[in-house]
Amino acid sequence: MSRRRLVVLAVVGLQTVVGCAPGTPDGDSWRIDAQRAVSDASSAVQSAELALNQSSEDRVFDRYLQTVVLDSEKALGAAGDHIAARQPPRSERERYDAVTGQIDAAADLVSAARIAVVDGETYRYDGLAKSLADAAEALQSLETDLEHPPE
Amino acid sequence: MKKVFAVALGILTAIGGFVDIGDLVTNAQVGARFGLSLGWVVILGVLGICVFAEMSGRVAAVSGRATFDIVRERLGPRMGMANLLASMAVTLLTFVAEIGGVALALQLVTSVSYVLLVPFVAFIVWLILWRARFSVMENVLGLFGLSLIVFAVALWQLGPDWGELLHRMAVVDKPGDEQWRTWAYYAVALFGAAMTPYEVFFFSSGGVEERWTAKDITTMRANVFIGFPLGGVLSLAIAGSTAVVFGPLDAGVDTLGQVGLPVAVALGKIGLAIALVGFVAATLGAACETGLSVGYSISQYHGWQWGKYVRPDVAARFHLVLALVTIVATCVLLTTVDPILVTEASVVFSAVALPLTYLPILIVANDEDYMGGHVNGRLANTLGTVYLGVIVAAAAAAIPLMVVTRMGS
Repeated sequence: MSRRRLVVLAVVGLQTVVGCAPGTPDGDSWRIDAQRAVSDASSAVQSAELALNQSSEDRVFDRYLQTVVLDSEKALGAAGDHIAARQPPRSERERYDAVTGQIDAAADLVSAARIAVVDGETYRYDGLAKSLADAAEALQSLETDLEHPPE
Repeated sequence: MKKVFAVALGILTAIGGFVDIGDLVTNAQVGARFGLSLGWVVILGVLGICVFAEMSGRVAAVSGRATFDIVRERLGPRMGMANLLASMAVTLLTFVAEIGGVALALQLVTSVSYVLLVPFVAFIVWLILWRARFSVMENVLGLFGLSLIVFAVALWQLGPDWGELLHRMAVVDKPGDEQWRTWAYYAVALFGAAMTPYEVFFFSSGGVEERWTAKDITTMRANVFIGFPLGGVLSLAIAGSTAVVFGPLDAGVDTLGQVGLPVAVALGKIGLAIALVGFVAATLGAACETGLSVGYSISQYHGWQWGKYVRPDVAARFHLVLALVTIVATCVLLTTVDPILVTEASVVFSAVALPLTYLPILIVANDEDYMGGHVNGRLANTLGTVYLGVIVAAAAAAIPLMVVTRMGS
C-alpha cells in the first residue's frame, strides 16, 4: 500500500474515532434540541387533554381514548429520553434541569391519566384534564423561553 | 344506464381510494403546523397525478399492456432496471407503511398494540391479494374509503373562518414561528404523498386487469379527472380539520389517533366511528394496491405471467412475489419500527423516485408504435414536461431538506 493511501486511511480512521466520541453541543444546538423536546411534550400533553375532555362529553370511545393517551405517554417518554441524553453546555445547566423536570412531571401526569382511563375512573377525567392544561401551558412558556440564550 | 353506473362507481372508488396513510398523516401534520398554507401543493400534486395517471391509463387502454410492461421493451433493460429499482424500493416502503397503518387504525378500535396486530393484518392483506376478485377488492375498499368524507363534514361543522382558511391557501406564506426550510420540506413531502409512484403502477396495471380498450378511455378520464380531484378535496379537509383544532393549541400531530380527534370534536362518536371505518378501508385498500404494484412491476419487468385475472397456478411467480413482500413487510414492522416514521420516510423517498417513474410514462405515451392515434396531444405534453421539471426539482431537494430539517422537526 502506498504511503499516500496509508495517510488517507489514517486521517479517515482518526476522523471516525473522533466523530464517535461524545461531545458537548454548543448552546444554540442544545437549545434547538430542547425546544423540539419541549414542543413534542407539549403536543402530547395537549392531545391527551383534548381526548380526555372529549371523553368527558362522551364524544370518543374508551379504547380510542386509551390509545391516544398511551401514544401521548410514549411521546413524552421519547422526548424526555432525547433531551436527557444530550449533554447541556455549562451555561444551560439550569434550563436543562427545568426542561427535564417539566417533561418528567408532564409524563407522570399523562401516566396518571392512562391509569385512570384503563381503570375506567371517569370521575377523575376533569381534574386530570385541568392538570394537563396547566402542564401544557408551563411547557409552552418554557418553549418560548428557550428561543433565547440564557440571560 | 350500465355505463353511467360504471362511471359513477369508478369515480367513487377513485375518491375513496385516493387517500392512503401517507396522505392521512402528512396532511394532518401539515394542517396542524402550517394551516392550509400548503394547500396549493395538494392541488399541484393532484393535477400532476391526474396528468400522468391519464397517460398511463391511456397506454393500458390502447396497447392492452401496463405502462411498465412496455418500459423495458421501449427503453431497454438498463433504464427498465433503474425504473424498477427506484419505484420498487419506494413502493415496498409504502407497502410497509400501509400495513402498519391498518394495524394502527385497528389499534384505535381495539387498543391492542399494533405490533401484535401486524401478523393478522398481513395475513388478511395476503388473503385478499390471493383470493379476492380484482373488482371486488377495488370497489368494496374504495367505497368504504369514502367514509373519509366525514372529515369534510367535520370541517364544516367546526365552523372555521372560511375566508381566513382560503386566504392562507391563496398566498405563499408560512406561520411566523416556522422556518422556510421546514415549510419547503413539508411541501416536498405533500407533493410526494400526492404523486406516490404506486398510484400509476396500480392504475395502468389495473386497467389491463379490467381489460380496458380504447372505448374505455372516456370512462377512465372521468375517473381520473373527477375522482382524483375530489380525493384531493378529502386531503384538504383532513388538513383543514387539524388546522382548526390543533392550530390554535400550537400542538403537532404525530399519531393516527390525533388525526381522528377533530372529527370527534365536531361530530362525536358517530363521526369518529365513520372516520375509523375510513382509516381501515383507506389503509387496507392502499396496502392491497401497493402489494399488487410490487408484484406487477417485478413480474412485468421479468416478463412473467401476472395479474389477478389469471389463476394463481398460472401466475405462480407473481403470487410468490406477493407472499414474499408481505412477509418482508411483516418482518420490518415486527422490529417495532414506528409505522408513522416509515410513512414519513416513504412520502419523502417517493419524491426522490418520481422522475424515474414518470419520465418513462411520458416517453411511452408519445410513442406512435404503441399508441397509434392516441399519442399525447400538445396539452398533455406541455403539462407532462412542466411537471417533469417540478418533479426533478422536488426530487433534488427532498434528501437535502430531510437532512437539514431533521425530517421536518
